[in-house]
Amino acid sequence: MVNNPFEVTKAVDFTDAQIAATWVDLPGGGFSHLADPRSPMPRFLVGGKGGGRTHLLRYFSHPLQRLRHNGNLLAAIQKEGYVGLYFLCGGLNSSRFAKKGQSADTWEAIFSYYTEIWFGRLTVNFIEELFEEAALDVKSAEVESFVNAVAELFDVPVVFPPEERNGLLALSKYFHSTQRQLDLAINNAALTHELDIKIGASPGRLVFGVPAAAARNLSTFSGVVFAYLLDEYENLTIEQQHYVNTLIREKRRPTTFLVGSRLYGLRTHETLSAGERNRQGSEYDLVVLESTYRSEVHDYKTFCANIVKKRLERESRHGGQSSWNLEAYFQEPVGSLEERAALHTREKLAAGAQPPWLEQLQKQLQDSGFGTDAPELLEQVRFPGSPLHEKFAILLLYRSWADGKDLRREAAENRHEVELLLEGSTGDSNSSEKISTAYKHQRKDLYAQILKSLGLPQEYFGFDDFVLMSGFLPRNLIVLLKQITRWSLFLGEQPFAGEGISLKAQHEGVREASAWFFSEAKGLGQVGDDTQRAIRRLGGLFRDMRFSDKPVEVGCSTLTTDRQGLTRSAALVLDAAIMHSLILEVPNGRREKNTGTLQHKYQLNPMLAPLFDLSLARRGQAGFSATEMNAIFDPGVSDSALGAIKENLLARMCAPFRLESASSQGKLFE
Amino acid sequence: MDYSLLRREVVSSRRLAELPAWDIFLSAYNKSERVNAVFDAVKAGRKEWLVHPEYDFSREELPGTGNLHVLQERDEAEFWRHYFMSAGVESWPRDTRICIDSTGFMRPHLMLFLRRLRDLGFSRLYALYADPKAYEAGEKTPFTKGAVTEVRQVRGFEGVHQPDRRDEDLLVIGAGYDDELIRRVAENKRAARKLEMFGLPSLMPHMYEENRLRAARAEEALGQLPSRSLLFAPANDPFATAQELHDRLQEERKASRIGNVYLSPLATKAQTLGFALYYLCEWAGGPASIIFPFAEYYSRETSVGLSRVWLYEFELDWFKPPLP
Amino acid sequence: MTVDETREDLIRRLKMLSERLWEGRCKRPDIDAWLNNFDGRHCGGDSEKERLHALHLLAHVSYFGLPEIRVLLRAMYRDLFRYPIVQKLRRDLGGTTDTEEIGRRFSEELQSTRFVGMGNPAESGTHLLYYFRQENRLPKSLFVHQHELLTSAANDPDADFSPPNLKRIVFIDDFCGSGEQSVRYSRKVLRVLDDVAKKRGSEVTYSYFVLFGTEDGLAHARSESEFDVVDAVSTLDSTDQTFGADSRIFRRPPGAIAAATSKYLAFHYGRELFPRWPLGFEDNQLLLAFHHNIPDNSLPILWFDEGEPTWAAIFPRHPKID
Repeated sequence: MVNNPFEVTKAVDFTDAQIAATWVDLPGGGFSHLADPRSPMPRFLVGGKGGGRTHLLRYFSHPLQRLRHNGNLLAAIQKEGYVGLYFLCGGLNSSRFAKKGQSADTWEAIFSYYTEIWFGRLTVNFIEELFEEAALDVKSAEVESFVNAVAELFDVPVVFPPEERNGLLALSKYFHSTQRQLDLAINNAALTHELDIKIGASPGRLVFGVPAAAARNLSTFSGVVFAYLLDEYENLTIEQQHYVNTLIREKRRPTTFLVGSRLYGLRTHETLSAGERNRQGSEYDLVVLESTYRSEVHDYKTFCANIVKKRLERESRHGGQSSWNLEAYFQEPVGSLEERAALHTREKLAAGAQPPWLEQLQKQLQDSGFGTDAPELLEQVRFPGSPLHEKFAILLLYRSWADGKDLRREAAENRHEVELLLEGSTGDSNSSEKISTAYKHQRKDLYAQILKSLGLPQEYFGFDDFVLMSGFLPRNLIVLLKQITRWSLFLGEQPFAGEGISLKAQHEGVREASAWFFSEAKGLGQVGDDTQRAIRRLGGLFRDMRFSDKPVEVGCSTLTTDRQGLTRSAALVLDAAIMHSLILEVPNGRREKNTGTLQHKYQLNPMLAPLFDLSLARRGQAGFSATEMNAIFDPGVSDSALGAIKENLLARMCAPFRLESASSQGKLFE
Repeated sequence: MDYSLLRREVVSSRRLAELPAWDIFLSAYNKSERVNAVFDAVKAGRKEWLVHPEYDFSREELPGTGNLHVLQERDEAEFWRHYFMSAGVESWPRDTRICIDSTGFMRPHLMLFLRRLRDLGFSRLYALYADPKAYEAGEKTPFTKGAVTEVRQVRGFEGVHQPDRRDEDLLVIGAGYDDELIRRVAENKRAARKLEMFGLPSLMPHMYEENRLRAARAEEALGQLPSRSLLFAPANDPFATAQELHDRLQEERKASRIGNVYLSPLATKAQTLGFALYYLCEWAGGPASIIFPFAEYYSRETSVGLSRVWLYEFELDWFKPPLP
Repeated sequence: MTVDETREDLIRRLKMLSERLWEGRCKRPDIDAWLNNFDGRHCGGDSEKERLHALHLLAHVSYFGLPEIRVLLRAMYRDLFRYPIVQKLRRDLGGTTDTEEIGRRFSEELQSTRFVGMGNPAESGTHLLYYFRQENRLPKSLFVHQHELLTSAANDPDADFSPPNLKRIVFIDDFCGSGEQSVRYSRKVLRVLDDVAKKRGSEVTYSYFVLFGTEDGLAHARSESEFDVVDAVSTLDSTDQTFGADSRIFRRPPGAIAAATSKYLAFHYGRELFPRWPLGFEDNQLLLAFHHNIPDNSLPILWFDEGEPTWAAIFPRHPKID
């Protein structure tokens, strides 16, 4: 395979035909149970970039309906019971509706009217084109009734050009010229500060009225739902979203709404009427795609595998391959963790040199007054044949040290246990079992520490890892595979054809994709910068914890907090990070037994794990105090103040494991 | 339309005296040698310093010479409104020889100025651009200082758009060195098909390559770009830029329907002027807009010396009549 | 940055260049094959150090692929050839904006122009001519070989230009290094043409256009050659001289890279390959390559491909036959 099957990563880059051809449904209930365009209950489809919203909305739109029914849109509408009218909110270029010497109220009214016209134009154009395509009679009585009904929706007299015989066309042109006049006035207002617009219809009249008129007068649309598929909702300001919320609240058949928005784009549920608010479950439903994927993890993995297979099929020159074994396409390191640790150590260390972790231990013991015991203690932990066991023995020693136990005695006992472990046999005692379990628990992170000490990069490989990394946004997976494939091609390999993609290609691809994700997820404005800084701080902290002498948690990239005591700025930044998918909120947070406050669980997006040398597994979690949370998230906290907090936090994880006194915590805000 | 009829020339730093004389000379103040050297060397009846709030100059940092206009408005329409009123531009004779040094001006303001003069019926605008000897940080001089706050249409370049059909919307980005800006604009119109324009020939041969490499960082935001999606025009020629846009979009229209067009010049000032010229000549009043990523503050550029000055003559009476 | 990090960084840069600008050339296996040339013999056995420096040089080569060459050829026609003519026509017509009239007159000017590749048919100049014609949609009739400019041999008393109303001859080449070649060529070819012009009482302008020229080379050609117009689409200056004082690639190099080491290596390996000019013809020290060839003004370690001594070129050169 010479080309890269993952070059196209975004829904928008697919033509309608391509979407139809590559459509992969969600296993289990399928997407249709997530969103039904015929449902009278408006629904918000919300999520991060690359969750599949646009894909889904386009799938519901009428060009795809047509493709599903062999080019017969009329049949499609009647069979599927709805017509999907896709509408890009960005097309309104709604930043025009502000300032220019006009009041906010004026703009509110004008925006609403303008959008009504936009909706109307979209709908009437569609009807007109459908009639032409299906060769329906535009001169019939029903068309005339429809046109008249629409004309009556306006508060102003609607005048058609007399020479236009085709009523639908005339109506279409009327909408077009009305919009045009509005555009010219709105645009010119910037230069003239004059805005002379007559509002021709009140909010909702056209949006609901045109479909209603169609359903009543045109037999084609009898019983058909008009589903407006609003995408890129985040392009509307709060005030503009008030208008849409008003429509959603009004809810009149045969109109319904499916609104696609980025997480950060859903700014308000208030309507144009002061004090009025739409509520989830009663005025609208809301689906967060990632949550759906997350709640059915096995399905998500299958879904991802299907997407990838479909891509490979399309790209493959030799017809339909009967099966694609995705795991086999990616090379894996050979040998157990223990063997690899030993191999790396041998390769990286100069002959006769002491491994860095022993060097460090020696120094720590000497600096902490254990100088005389050091040689003996080192002997007890030394396992030259298996660096992984050696590290484990050292970890046990650190634990004993932190617990204030007799080091020489502990070291000797532990050595015995580790020797048994190494042999593969276990002792009878409870402590033996505990140690064996602890080793199983720790070995991956210990291996990671070895890699770091030797100056080797962390390892991320294999399809499963990549699915994990995607953080429940399929596009992330595609980008990952795209970068990996590119590296594989650059290295002269033959991805998806011969041998598996090398570890090097996987590593470099992961690195690039991770960096891409971080820069791309940045929000607009100062808060975007602040969020990135916070993420770097958080990631850096997790990293320091992971590579400390005695980490409190294993595989930790999640924090818990009850959010009490957060400064306003910190809360803003934390929420922005969530809204931009840099941090994922893990559902099923617990309520504290005594206080009843909710413990939130927040995971650093696994796409970012490689940037901070973190594990992809979501195992351990760290509870942070308000001070610590503020130090990380509040942009007002200086780097040095953060440093002091970090030192305090890490003190119990690093030799000599002394807890700093409260007074040395330092000032948070300087 | 043949934009090559419009005049341009380049004058080396040692021969600034050869520049023609003007009635009015406008320059956006910044501390660089090139902007100041040109301001001093130019022969004009009246020389005006305009100060952009985005540069955040304190009173003490402002120049003592020339007529000083310190503007508070960031919005480009308000900026020129204010200046036009205080300088009495509407009363100037329409054959006044006006020259603007584009070097320090914000791009949206530069574009709107061209339009405003045309609307008022002025027949000519001369625009300069001053090239430094070297950029402080190589070519990696930061553009904005701090974050981009919004992407929106430039006042005076807002179009009459239609409900989009994704496959037919086009976004043409003039790619500069700042990949963040490219990304912001591309994201703002993520559903549109994208074309990317690069400066080739570039001022120095290696600059094209650096430009491509930096712009590549925004690649994901641009989506799949087949090789056909690139346009090229000389980095310092607004007229060839306009011509290239003209030729290319004509080709696109022959190949498939074009619905809405969005243009975003993020590279040189010459390119920016070229985009504006093209828009005013061919798209004003149509379904096209120029969009731009706005930031609250811009870095005061740190360039060294002056190597040459580019001069462009815009014949404003050539454009289509003003908008209704 | 550590040595390893520097290396990784350079490889990443090369990957981006390979994918986007170098038409897929110089993938990792090719790079490795080239790096293997450097076995440490000029650096006390430290082949890693040599390779790192070589990598740094490679990562700063300016390569112009076919798409870029086409764009530059369009620019050559539009900016160097057409623009001055159109401007003059406009002035002569009193500043008219009548694009049709100007277009008509320009056509006439074009018809009395001929485009010729520098050197003989096997050289890159003529190769470029094909793309130049294609890109600018020009009729074949305007493109001739040098000997077709006259109706008969130059020493024939009846020799005339072909066409008789020939006003302008444009010589095209890809690269002007020292300018010497153009000077020699002009003396050989233009003198002959000039004799015919004098006999016939015609006024013919001779232009020399290149895609890339060094500042010094162009200056030399302007002052010493017989060409009336000498111009380049893109000019190289002192910052492009790799080991010069102004070299842009050593202005702020990575910590592990030393300019002196780099020069030493390039020179000593270069001397084994191209003894007369170890750092490129006329000591130009360039890092410049094109889709169709690489000038010998670039560092020989990049292009030497003549079998003896054995050397794996990364941008093999097809030598000009002189």
